[in-house]
Amino acid sequence: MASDRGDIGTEFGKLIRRALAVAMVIVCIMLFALWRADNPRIERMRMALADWAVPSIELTSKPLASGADMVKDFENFTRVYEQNKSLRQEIQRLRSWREAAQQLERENAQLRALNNLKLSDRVGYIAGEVIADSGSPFAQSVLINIGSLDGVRDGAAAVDGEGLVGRIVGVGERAARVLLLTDFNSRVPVKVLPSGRRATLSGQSADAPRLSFLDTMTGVAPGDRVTTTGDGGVFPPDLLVGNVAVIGDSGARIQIRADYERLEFLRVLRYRPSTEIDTPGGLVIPNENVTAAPQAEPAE
Amino acid sequence: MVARAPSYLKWLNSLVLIGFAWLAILIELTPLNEEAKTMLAPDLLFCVAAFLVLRRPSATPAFLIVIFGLARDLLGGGPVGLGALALVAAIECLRALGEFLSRRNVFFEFGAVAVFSLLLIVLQTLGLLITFSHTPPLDQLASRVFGTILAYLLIYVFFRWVLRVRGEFAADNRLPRKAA
Repeated sequence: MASDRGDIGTEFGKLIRRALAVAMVIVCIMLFALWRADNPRIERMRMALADWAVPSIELTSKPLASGADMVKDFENFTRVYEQNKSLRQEIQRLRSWREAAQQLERENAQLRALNNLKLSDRVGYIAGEVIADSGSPFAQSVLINIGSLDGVRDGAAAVDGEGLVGRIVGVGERAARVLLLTDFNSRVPVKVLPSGRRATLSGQSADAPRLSFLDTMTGVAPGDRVTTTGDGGVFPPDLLVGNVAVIGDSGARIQIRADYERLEFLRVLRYRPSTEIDTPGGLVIPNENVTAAPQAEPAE
Repeated sequence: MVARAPSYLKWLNSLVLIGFAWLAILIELTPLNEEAKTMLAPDLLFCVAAFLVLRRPSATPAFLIVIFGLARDLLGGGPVGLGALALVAAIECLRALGEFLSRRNVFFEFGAVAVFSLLLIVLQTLGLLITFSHTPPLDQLASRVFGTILAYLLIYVFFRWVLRVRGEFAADNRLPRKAA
């Protein structure tokens, strides 16, 4: 009798498990459909889970990262002579750059004073640590340990010491997801300098993203700098992205300046574009206080 | 034929799955700088689930596999749901082969895991293709499969010889004891 009851219990348990599995499979299919439709609920779910998982991710990543660092330190130790030599060369090179930068800074200050140029928009930033990466070929993103409580906003640019890394696509309270420039879904408006040609940087899940919508290759050469345009007001203008690496039949590809091999800390920019007055109607001046604008004296 | 284990033991085994599956996800997500760049992180969750489903199928329920697959998809930033579906499909195929594999040489097991780790990637790629999504380059996918096969060897050594996890199939002489 007891055995029969046990069998019935086991069978019932199996049935429940199967039903649960089928329900979960249906949920997966629905979630995949939502993901494909770019539904914002998916990103909210991601960030809710990430917020919950941040402590355990940090707990796990620290000892593993320390282990990896130890291996790296040992490798560096074995190459200390070569590194010393290359660092000396780097110092020499940077000294000459410092001189050039100081000279340019002085010149820039003088020009601003002379022309009364408007200063660029205020760009603040907040730094965070990379605590997780996607670890799969199906996505190119990283998780950082700062979120909405720290002032991170959706769409903000993330940079490292060298250049643009990506943009924030999901914000939790204590974590945020950065979509790297190499991801398929990454699109950033850029310009190629010195020609000034505008294009869209499209991720290809490879190291070198492609320049799309570049009307012509004239004036574009390998080594040209690629910076953000600031179009759309999401990213600040003139953020360094990289250099044109190769120009082929399928278009130009760029070498990203940010060091993707050592993404440890990122700066998330808090960019506030200046208020723009697009139309004359946007300019509100009280009628009684309107005075004639001083006429510019003709140049002699 | 499957030997019946007491329910508390089953729950304990499920807890082992939960603990190691979560750990596998966290390790996969850990950014390892240059190492991560040169070789993509293997699918550790598949490795852990595959090892346990071949030895403790009753403690490795499909719904738990789906839940962990979903958690990995969400945290990893990839296509949500697709990874979980592919994972549960591959694990269920391995579950069906469990008794057969327990009577064979261990190389059959490695072969089966290699085949199903490939199937895992193929299913995900097909899912992306039929929904007109971008698919990763082949070299990255191949690297993922290769990494997963290598990782399974380590997982096998760790579970088999360090934790001494043995099979519950009667044909598997690694667990001759009767549980209940």
